[in-house]
Amino acid sequence: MTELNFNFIGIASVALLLISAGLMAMKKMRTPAVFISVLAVMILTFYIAALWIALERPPLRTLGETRLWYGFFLALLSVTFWFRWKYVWLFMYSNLMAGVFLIIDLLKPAALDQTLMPALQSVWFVPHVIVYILGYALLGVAALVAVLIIIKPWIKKDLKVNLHDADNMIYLGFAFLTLGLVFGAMWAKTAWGHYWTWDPKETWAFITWMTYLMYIHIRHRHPHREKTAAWMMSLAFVFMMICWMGIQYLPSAQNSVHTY
Amino acid sequence: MSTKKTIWSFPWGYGESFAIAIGLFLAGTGIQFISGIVIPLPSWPRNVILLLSFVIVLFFIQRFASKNPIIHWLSSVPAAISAIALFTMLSLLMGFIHQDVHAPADALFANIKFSWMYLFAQVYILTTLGLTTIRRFSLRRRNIGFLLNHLGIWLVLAAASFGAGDIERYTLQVQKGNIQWIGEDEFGNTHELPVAIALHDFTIDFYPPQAGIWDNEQNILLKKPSFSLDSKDSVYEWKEFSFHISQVSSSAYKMGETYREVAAPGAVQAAFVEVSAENKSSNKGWISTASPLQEPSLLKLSESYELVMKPPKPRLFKSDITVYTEQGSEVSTSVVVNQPITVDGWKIYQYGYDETMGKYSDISIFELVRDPWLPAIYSGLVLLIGGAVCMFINGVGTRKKQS
Repeated sequence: MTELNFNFIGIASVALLLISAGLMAMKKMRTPAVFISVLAVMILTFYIAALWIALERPPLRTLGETRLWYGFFLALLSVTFWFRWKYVWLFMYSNLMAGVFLIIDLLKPAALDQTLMPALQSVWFVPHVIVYILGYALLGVAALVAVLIIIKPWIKKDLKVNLHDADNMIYLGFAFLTLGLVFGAMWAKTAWGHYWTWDPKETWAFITWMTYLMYIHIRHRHPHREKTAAWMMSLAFVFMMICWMGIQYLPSAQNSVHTY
Repeated sequence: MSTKKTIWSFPWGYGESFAIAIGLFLAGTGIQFISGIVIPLPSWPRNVILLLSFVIVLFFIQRFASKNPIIHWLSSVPAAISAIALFTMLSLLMGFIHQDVHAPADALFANIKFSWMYLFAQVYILTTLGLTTIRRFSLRRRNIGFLLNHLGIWLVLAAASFGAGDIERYTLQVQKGNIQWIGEDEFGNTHELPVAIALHDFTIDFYPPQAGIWDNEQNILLKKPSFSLDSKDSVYEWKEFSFHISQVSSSAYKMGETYREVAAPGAVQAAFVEVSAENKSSNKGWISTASPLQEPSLLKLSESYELVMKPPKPRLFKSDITVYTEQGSEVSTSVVVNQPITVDGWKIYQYGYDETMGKYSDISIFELVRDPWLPAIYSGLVLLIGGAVCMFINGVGTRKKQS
């Protein structure tokens, strides 16, 4: 098997994403910026496809592989949201974040490993992980809106940002989290004999889901209390990051079936 | 008297809601601390009677007492948020503290899912969620998303908690050529089961062996590189070294200085590697995995590095079995991980094998699970999928603006 080298593709994608974010800051360069972002998305699409073929399994098993998908989805969302809302900051942020996650992958190279242990050989594997990473990407973009609302008084009082924009992303992202939980439960039933075992990853996924649920209820009941809602969303985002990447450092999670 | 609302005057808001949630948590913790008992799970038929009574009470109070300020508060957003927060708080404790069903009774937060605080949190959330669902029940198009999400999660939570006592799970260890129907529960007690399993064959397939580099200075296996040893005559490069794999065996025994193909318990994966390095003398020899009967072989590259074979990674566990039921029916089939079979309401899983024997294990361990509440759980999950689809379609567009 030939080694599929991520260095070149990774550096090229990161460069394109950063250039695209930079160009977006210049008023006259916005169309090229979007084109360059689309190019980065295409490169990442081809790379993921090539990786899938080379590994002979879905490239969704390791943390590094999930970060690759996260970068891909963020870049994709930056373009999608640009056409939807035309927010300069959202576009720049999504591309920068995509770049950051790809840089982490560049700094932590992992060996290509074709193996997939029997418990992961399931039809649920791809849908379960894809909906989660897509949900994480949406909620990650929404988290920026929450942070901007919290720090708005200190930076620019006239900053054009309101939580209503984040709500659409939260609703979509939350729906994806729900699907991820449900698919995970159905998979767990066929793999381990029970749909819910309070495995540490499940516990943290549930905590994340419940916290976004509180956010949705606060927004529903008190649309004008943006600060409270923004703090709740930030908290939910922190839980989400613990669930995704922090789990492996928790002493309570050393026997998790979700460690990889 | 001031016109500002004081706490505990109606209508109740966040202050009262969180005071009650905290009260429930403290009360639960207190009872748990004093009693120190693990809550016994009610099983059929008591759990069904309890659940039906609970549902009837919810309908009854919503129908006849909805004007009562406490009942009205129970289906309000502040009550809902405090109930979600209480449940999340317990989940956080579970997320930080290692959970163990065998934990001693005085370890207050080590077995939360069987504790009084968990029971109180469950009842609180099922009450607020249930009353809200009943109060806002309507099949109008705009309400479908609300109904699917709220009813779905209520059904899953209720069926999971009230049904927990009816779940039966046993492990069953069968030797090749034998038939077995005595299972063991999680506490090690034996039970005679209504199904018996005859084991005809058990197989493990492994992925091709992989070689890696051991770093003697850091005492770790380097993440990179990893060589797949699936074919002989392959060549790999790493740093100044070049590795030529000239022989590979998936089932070998060490005999003197060499490895021979032997299909017997304790056999290991082995490969013969020739290493050449720029400006250094070349080296060659066997590398192998370890088994309870054999030490691993490794190849020294330099003072700091050694070429080692990584532990074998299983690709497939498979048992060929016949299942006999009390009614006299029999099913012959294979069970593999992730593909359980269902016989007479029992799901049969490939669970384990004799690990000391590796691929020559003549023992296969199965897990048998019966959960009569599964249809209710799946109904709830399907409703939740529907609710998620509604969220995709509607987004926030149809939400009412309230102040």
